[in-house]
Amino acid sequence: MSTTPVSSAKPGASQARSKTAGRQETIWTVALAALLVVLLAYFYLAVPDFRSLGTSGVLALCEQFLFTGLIALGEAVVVLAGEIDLSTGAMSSLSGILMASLWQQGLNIWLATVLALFAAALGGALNGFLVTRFNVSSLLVTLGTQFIFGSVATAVGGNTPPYNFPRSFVTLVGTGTVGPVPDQLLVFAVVAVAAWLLVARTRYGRSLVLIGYNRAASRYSGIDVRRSLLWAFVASGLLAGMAGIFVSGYYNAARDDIGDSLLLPAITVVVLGGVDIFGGRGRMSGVILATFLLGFLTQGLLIRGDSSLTATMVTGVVLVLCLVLKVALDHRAWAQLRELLRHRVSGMGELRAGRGA
Amino acid sequence: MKQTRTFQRRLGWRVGAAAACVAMGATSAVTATPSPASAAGLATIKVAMVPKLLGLPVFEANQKGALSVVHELGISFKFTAPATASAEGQVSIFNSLIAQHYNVITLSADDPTVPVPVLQKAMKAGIQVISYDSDVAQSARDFFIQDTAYNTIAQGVIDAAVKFAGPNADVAIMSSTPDATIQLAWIGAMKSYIAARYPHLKIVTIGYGQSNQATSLSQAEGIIHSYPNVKAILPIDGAAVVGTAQAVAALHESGKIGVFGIGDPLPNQKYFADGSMQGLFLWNEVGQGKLTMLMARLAYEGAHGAPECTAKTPPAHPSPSQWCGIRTNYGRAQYFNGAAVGLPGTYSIAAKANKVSGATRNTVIFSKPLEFTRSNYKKYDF
Amino acid sequence: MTALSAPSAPSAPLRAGETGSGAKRSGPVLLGMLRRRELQLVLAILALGALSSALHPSFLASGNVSFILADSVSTMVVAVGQTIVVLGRGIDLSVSPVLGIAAIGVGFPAQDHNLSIFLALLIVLVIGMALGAGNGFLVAVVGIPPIIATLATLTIYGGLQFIFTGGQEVVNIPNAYGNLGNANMLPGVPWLIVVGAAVVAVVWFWLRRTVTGRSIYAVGNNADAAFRAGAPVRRILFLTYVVSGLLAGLGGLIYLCHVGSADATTGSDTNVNLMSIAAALIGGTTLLGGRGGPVGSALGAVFLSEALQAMIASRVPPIWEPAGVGALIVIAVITDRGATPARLLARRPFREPSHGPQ
Repeated sequence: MSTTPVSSAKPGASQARSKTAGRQETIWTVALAALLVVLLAYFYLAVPDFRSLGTSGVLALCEQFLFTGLIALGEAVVVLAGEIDLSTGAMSSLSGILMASLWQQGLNIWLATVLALFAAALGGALNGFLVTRFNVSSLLVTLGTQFIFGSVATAVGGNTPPYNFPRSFVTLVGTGTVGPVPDQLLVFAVVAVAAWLLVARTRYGRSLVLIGYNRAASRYSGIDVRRSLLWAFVASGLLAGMAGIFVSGYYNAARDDIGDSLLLPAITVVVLGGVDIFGGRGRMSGVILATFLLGFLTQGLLIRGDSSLTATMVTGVVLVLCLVLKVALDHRAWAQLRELLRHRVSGMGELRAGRGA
Repeated sequence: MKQTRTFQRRLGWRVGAAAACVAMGATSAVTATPSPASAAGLATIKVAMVPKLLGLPVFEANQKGALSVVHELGISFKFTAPATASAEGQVSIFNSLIAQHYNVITLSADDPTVPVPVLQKAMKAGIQVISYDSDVAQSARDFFIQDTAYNTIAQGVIDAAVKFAGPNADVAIMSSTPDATIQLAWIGAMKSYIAARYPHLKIVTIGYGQSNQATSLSQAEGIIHSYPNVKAILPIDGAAVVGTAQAVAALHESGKIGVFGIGDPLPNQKYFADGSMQGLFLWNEVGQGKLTMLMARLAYEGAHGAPECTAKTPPAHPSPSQWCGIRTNYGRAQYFNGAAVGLPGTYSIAAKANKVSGATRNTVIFSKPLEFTRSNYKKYDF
Repeated sequence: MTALSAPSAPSAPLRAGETGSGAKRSGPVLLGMLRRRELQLVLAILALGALSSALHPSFLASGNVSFILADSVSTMVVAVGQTIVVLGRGIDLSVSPVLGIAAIGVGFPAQDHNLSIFLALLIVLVIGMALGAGNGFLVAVVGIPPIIATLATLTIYGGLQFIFTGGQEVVNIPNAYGNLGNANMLPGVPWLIVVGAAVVAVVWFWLRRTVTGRSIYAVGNNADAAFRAGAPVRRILFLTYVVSGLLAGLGGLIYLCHVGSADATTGSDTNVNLMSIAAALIGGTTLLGGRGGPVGSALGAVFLSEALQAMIASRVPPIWEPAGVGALIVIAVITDRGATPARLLARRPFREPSHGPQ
């Protein structure tokens, strides 16, 4: 590919990447933070019912969207590497159901949780194995495993899935608080920081981003692409499983389809967080901010008295506007557009090769 | 009804043009919040009605009934629900209703257990919680309005099917999903009635239409092909009724395979007319909406110091000073009159559970089922 | 029936500006692979039919066969539209609400005012094209990745569908619709399957025999090369979404005729998005673009419908039906010879060599 007419990155992929893409990522992250502040200020000033919640009430709203955030963190790891995992929602349902059923069989609930998380990681590994072993698009594989995980969850859960878990469990992963801060928020903070460190500060994280950015180059620079991808799917499965445990704790009940509705919001969060859906660009900090931005937007609209239908549609409109803005604000907008035309894919993990040759 | 249809039709024509100018005008069409009008001497209270999902005609009929009485009951009313039947969606809505300081929440639960923590939080905040149509765990609500006694409606369906197909026939049931609470209860009641009364009637399979007409249609056609001896199909969910009747009509089995189910007659007029539908059972959905609002008022009064409704012959039209209140109690039965919202007769709140009817504690059974047949289906508009 | 040739109409104005050199080279090779998958599917359909009827003699009753065919047509038509988008390396996640909006958009006038079926056809095509153009605008003009753009319109169109129904349901359509949806043209040959076959034939002709159609393959294969060869890439991409919307709209009318009712959840409740993608995948169209075609997708839809009925006949508990669909997708994907190592290991093999020296 020697005659690329419009080239957005220069040879020596990774250094060039960090310069140009890095600045855009910073701008995007700062913009998200500013938007979050504006949004909270608006709700606080203009919606009396929101104001009357107080600090602890506003913090408690987080309990309703942090599981989406957990899934988004795992999804972001996979998307950064240029793949996608559509089975995360079903995996959440499955892990919640597994935990609950094992507990119902008489197992200690924490042991059941560990086993369910292990199963979730295993499910992620299955996705990773299929994708890397057969070299097929993760979009297709996880589209298929999504159905399979869902059916298994239904079968394991039976007609009356277990509920009413031990108090200690419900408190820690569900509705407990430390002062005004929900336990869930604390756990999420730990996981989010870990995910951020993983991507931004470890060799593995940087190799994942490079795989997403330019798979061929990463292969030549000695990265074991298959193994790295496999672990990315394990991380995604594990975090989806963790979300399933949180959901079950929060609702104090397990259900075979409880995680299904989390998939699309999680992908929305990833994209809004500034992660390029084709991989190789984006930051965990953006994803974390987007979790709160979308979460507070939805909850705030509901408290303002809007219907959940409106809240969902506003989410869609915000997503479109943000992406339009992203394209418009890019000072190399036209170059980008041409490039998008070349790299327009829905099969994820498209090679970003050829830019520099 | 007719007016709404015309309005919808006009909108329907404009789909393409409207696509561009999305969200803004949209909201009011979905959640109807009529302005409160304080009736004589009554403090206005905020009551929310949260069905399983938006856009289902039976729930819209409930809303219609509720809207017709909220003015005289001094209720500021809001109808809101998730866009899909999602228990998690309902939880988000309940949380927002708590934040908006509603006085009473009425709901038809998508799941009996998932909303338990949030509804308990609501009760702790002094909100009265009343479930109707589909119950939640008893610890998470004050009262439940049961549509009809499970045994009565099950008997109605089975008796009608036996009359058509004989007591030794093979029949199949079409349900919604394997874990749907109320359908499970009906199937249980049908099975025990068959065991006691028609031991040779055989239920050969239970199909699941996933609460949508297209899947119900495929499932019902599959049953007709795979079980050639089936003489009657019993669909017990709104979508399953339509799908089953359509399957029977499409395969030219009208009149040969009987269809007896639980559902509303309006969507099935065509099938009654062409003979592919024989009988349906349901309660009056509009009246149920009225009763739900009346109970919301009484529950609020009961929690705010009004004397308990224990008189066995309650006054038909209590003046504001005479309003009694209902409370959750496990000792005495309570009674109130439906005349205040135009419903005939006295309603009783069961003090204890009744295994046969399916009633649990603090439950009101709304009515006996109505039977819709080829001769009377035209009289109903729900 | 004449109006069914509509899918090809939009191509006419674009033909002029078309050089079309991109498609020719890859054409025959692609078709070779295509035929293999189609053949596999035909064999699979026959084998499954034989197996099921051996176990359950009533399975092959003529009524059941024509029902399986008729039941698949709505998914089939949408899957053909999805295939066109996928061939151009896109994806359309908004076909569910487009189908739903089309179904209610003509359902209410048909129910209340006895709207003629030809007018209804015109309306669903216009609705579908308008909503599809929304997707095409976001993807081809603004430049938002397809999966995200159509994810967003999925929520927006889905909301519109709710608003347009206002909680009402279409339940009472005129007999003309029901006859088209369920009656046979000849004994054992439902009208719907004739409609489905006509759509597949028209789209096949369009994709194979017209310059615009073939350039979709070229764009999906390598948009950059197609661009440099003079293909109006953006216009072609825009067009794929318009046609996908149009066929989803047609699918809505077919759904209405076949099922006889429609409401606020029509389309999303049967998961038309996933089923149309699944049918395309099973039919041998890869999401990497440029390979596959409408015939495979149509067979994929028939196979899905047949597998579902076979599972019912074999008394498979309904909870395992989704797993069956999922397993079919995974099997279809990993056994797709054309999509394995040579093509997919590097994803873009023709670019790989130039990196060797680095």
